[in-house]
Amino acid sequence: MRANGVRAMCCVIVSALMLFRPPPGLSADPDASEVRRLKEEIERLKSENEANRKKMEDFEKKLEQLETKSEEKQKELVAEISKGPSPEALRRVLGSYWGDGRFVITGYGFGQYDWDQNANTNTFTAQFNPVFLFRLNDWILFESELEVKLPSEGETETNLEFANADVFLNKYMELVAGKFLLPFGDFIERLHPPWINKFVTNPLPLREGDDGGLLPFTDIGAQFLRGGIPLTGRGTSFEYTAWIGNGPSYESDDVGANFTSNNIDDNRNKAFGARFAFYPLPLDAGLGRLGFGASTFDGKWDSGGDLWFRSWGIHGLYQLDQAELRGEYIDTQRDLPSDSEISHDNRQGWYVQGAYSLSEVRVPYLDRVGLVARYSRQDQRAVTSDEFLPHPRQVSVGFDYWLTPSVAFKFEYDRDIPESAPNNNEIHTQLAVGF
Amino acid sequence: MTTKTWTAIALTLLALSLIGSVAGVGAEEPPKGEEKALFRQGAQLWPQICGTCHNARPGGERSPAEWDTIMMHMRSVANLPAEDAQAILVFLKAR
Repeated sequence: MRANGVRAMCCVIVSALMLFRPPPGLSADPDASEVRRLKEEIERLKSENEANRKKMEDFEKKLEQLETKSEEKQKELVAEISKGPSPEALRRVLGSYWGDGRFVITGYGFGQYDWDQNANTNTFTAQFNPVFLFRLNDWILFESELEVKLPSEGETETNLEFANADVFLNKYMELVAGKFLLPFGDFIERLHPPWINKFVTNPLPLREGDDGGLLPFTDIGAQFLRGGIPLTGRGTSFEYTAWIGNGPSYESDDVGANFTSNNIDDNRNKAFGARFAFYPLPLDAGLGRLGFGASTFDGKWDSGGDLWFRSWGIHGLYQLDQAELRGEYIDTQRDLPSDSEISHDNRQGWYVQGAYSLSEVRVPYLDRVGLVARYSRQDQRAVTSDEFLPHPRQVSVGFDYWLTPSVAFKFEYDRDIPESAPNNNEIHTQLAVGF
Repeated sequence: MTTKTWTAIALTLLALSLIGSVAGVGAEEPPKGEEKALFRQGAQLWPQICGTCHNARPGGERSPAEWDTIMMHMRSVANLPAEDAQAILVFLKAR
């Protein structure tokens, strides 16, 4: 019994000892856990190191690729620079420097010297005509010209020469509205700017404003049809213009009165006009350039709207190599009030002009010279009194010295031989600049 | 003029404007192949057409963008057909 008790006690003690476990801090081998932790740490660092190594390899590969590309690009750039900028690139850069070109100022100006024997004038004068162009888009343009000039007396004078909107409706048709140069013949619309006109002065029937010409230079209204249509052969065309406007207005009811502005129509009637022209010779034919056409302009001129102004004209030109011949004929008839001395103020005028350029003469300076001669005259039929126009006739000769295609020094000598006034001599010189 | 006349003018205008598409001179850059052909045409037209009234002015006087605007003005003043104006414009812009 006692032995059983001792055995049982021993069992209890052994079990108790087996159940008892010391806390970790009181482990028998503390270095083992530290070693294990360190081993884990080493493994983690190894994997991190491996990942970094792979990343580094990738970076090196990319760097190598970039260096290769950079070298190739550098070679391309060096080759491009050595070639110089392409015209397209240069155009793009210059275009951005100068702006988009939608607003352009062009025009002309001149300094002039005039000598008139009978009038006993001997004077310098100057004029400046800037032309403003604004391209709203590819089918609408607004254009305007200011005329800044020095009148014989008083301060500087400024006129609105023209201001109109051009709407291109299709390839062959345009609408123009505003104040425009009269589409009649060639001279008024196309030849009167001094850098284009080969003479200093205008032909007699096409003198402007108060100078006594046969037509007003401008009208206000709409050119509801205008354009050019190509015919067979390069350079051939048919051109046309049809328009309505306020019409002519005169300074007085007198015979021989000058035109005056008609900014607000002086009657309820509108004037109408039309012009057409042909250029029938193809450039390939080598026969030169031939052009001819006709114009008309008709409207009531008095405030009552009873009296007609009627006009028609023809014009033509021929150019071959350095030679040019052109001319224009104009006929006008103005009804006069019933209490006038005569019923109609009937005037005609024409000019013919020849020019020859010495540009083919291979002599320095001389190849810049152009020779020019003109005969112009104006008639007034049914004249019953000496106060009427003196039937002016004029022979003009001169030369142009072209400094550039749009800058010319011009010299002109005029011999005036009117039918009912003393003969006269005039000299005009001008430095004209088109810009 | 009467209302009927004005109406007739307006209708004529509308009908004629529908005949062709709206066409500006510098509206679109022509395709490369076409541009060469236009350049050659322009080189031939430039002295003749411009020289009808005045000395032909060199393309270098103005920037290409300015020529777009100036040629619209010239097309109007000289009643140039659109094709001729386009050819001269290409020539001027390339010089």
